[in-house]
Amino acid sequence: MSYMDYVRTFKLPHSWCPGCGIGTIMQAMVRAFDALKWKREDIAFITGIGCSGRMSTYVNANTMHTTHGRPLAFATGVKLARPEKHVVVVSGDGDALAIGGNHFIHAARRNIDIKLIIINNSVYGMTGGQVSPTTPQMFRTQTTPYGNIEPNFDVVKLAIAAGATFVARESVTRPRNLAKLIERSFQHKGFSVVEAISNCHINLGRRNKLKDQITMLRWINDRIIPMNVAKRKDPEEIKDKIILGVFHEDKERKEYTELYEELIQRAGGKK
Amino acid sequence: MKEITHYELRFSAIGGQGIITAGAMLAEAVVQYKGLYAIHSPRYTAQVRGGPTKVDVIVDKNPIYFPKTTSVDYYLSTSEKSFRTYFQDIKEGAIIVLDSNLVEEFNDPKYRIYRIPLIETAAKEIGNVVTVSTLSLAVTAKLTGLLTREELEDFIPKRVPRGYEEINLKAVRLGYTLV
Amino acid sequence: MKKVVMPGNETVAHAAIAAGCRFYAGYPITPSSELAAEMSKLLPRVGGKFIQMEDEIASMAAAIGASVAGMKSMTATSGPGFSLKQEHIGLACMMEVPVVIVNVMRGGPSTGLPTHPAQGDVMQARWGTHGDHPIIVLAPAFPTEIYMETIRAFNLAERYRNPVILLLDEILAHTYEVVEVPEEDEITLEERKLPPSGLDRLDFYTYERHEGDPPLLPNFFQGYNFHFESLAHDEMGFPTTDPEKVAYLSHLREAKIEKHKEKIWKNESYLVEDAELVVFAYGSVARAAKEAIDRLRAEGEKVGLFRPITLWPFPDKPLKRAVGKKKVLVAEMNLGQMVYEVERVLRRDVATLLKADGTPISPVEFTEKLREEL
Repeated sequence: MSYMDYVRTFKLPHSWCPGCGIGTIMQAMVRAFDALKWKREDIAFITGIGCSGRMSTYVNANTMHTTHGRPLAFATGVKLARPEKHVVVVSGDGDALAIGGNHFIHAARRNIDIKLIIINNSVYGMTGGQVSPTTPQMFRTQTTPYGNIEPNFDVVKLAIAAGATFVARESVTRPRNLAKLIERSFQHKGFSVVEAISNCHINLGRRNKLKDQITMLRWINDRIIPMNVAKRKDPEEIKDKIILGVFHEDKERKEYTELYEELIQRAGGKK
Repeated sequence: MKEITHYELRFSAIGGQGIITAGAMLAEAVVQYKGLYAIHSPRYTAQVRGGPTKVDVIVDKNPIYFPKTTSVDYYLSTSEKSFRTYFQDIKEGAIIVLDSNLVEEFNDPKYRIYRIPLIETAAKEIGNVVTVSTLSLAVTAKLTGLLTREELEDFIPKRVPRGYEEINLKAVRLGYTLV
Repeated sequence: MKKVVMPGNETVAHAAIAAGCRFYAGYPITPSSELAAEMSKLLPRVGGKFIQMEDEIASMAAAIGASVAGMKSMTATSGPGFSLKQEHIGLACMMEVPVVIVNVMRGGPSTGLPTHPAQGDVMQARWGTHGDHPIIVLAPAFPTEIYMETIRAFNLAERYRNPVILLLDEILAHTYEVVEVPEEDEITLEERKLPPSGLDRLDFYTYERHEGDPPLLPNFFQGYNFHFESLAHDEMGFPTTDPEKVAYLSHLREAKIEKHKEKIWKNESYLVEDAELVVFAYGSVARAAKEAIDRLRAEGEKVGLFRPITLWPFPDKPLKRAVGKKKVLVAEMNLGQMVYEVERVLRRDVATLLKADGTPISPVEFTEKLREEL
């Protein structure tokens, strides 16, 4: 097996714009599948709507392309029905944090064993570049022509506060680290969140002087800082930086479907 | 008793008094012991305690089409407010049972009125106010002839929570002597 | 058979378990909440799963997810929650995923009358989700019928791979009545047809099928790596905008219900044959009608009742056959919804008895109106 066995090659070429980070993130993810030797038929791969949502077409597994913001709710049904299987969700920043924000915090609160990768490109790309909950302040988008006045969600803090038991962040500019990090999140039992910082030079960059992928990836690269490096810095010096690494890992807390099996035992239910 | 073809009952009280349970038990018992059809519909409101509430029971020898009461044959109430609130569609000649401590004087020659200290009896004589459900059921069974004392004595121990069988059987016996 | 006194909400829960339902996702809403409560008690005892989701939308999604993973699955709600579920009901139609949705109708619009009955969602049940889609809607009226129609809802959902909506109202949901619960061997259950397991052939089982058939699709984890798609898709399940392919699959989805209407239809004709005036009523309203009809018949008046149990697909042929040129009165707990279907099918105006104030139409109101129309 190679990581390409997890790709529906007959559906290529994909529909993403040239230079889009989603392809890189998908490769990091299928490399993690391959590294862990997961069987395709044991993987449920579920996406929502938006550029990230299209990934379910290209991944060779049990796949489902659902509605805007709700892939975690579908995944919850799948995981409860078949707790022994791997359930992976990819969602964008608009999908996971705006329309699907409620499902995100509640999946985290339950600590249900779903592996979530949030592709954060800070914009609604597919619909033409509207402001999202992670668009930087004063950035121009199709719906913030005078600059974005709203503050961002910090995905990591939100996930930890809501109860996710594995929370990490990596950047599309470091694909090997990203693959390793996703692999690690897949090994975690419980609700895991990996925020993958990505680029949309087409619908965000071009309105903000970052109009090609190299310029935008450089801009991302200038803003990121690995956690071990950040620890040695003066907090004031790095206050505008995006810190990368594993922020939270709780191996003690019980996972939801395991607790449910115990509940069935208590209720006297037969398996 | 004469053969029942169609009979409508109403129990009203203050939410939480346990009168709703009396209606439910009556419906279940007539189905079980008499082979009749029965329905009961508790007044459905937001679940607040302390307000007027009621349960309607319909007993019929045939399947019941319209599931709401239209002409009530028997009305039992343990609170003044709920008695007035749900005094609707009471048939002329209906039996009316009122808690003598909690419902004000009510006289109307159109009805057969009984005044019984239901709650006080449950609390003091039987020793637990929760038995007012069984007590009211027994009073109702006796006045309407819908169930015999033997049937109730068989039904009640199986229906009430474990550990409460004895005091509820006492409530059945007392219910039959109060009237 | 054993007789049990229980309210409609509990009847549905017990019947669902008997039908093989092993997954329920829901969200509390009056007057359907007791159904969820009963499922939360019953499901774990049979090894099934109950989950109270964070909202109505999520509960519909989770029910679909569990169905795709192979479980017979259900959700229940009422008016406002039904509106919220509509997007995902459309998704289940599009992906052709079996699922049962119970809507206990209450007064609307908006928050309306949460503790009072209505029949204002019969058109929403048909057309609530956007776009053209097939749907099956059942509206039982009597306690034992609620039990049997719940089982039929699961059977139809599995057979046609489509959402099936079961409509109750506040009266049916909350009235404790005698249910004749059948024994296990007295009911017939239909199981989802699946391709054989163990192959890894993406191109083998697809949305392609004979016109009128449901598709033969694998469950998740069966070994087919199948793709379920919310976008318009081709026969392989992958997104397409090719007008020919879009039209083709859309046609196949409609045809699987349309071609089997005769088998899906169920209705009751009560004293219709010699009647001069026929009432068209469904759900709890039909019960008041029946009582009024009995009273009028005792006086020698020739009145009858046509009661559809399958509301959608609309029983056009059975209605025409039963009613012919007789006078018709449509009665519903809304300001006129199914009446337009009746008029469309009969190609004439009919009389109406409509009420949407939170109270049921009583047998007395029926009797008066029927006398007027006779």
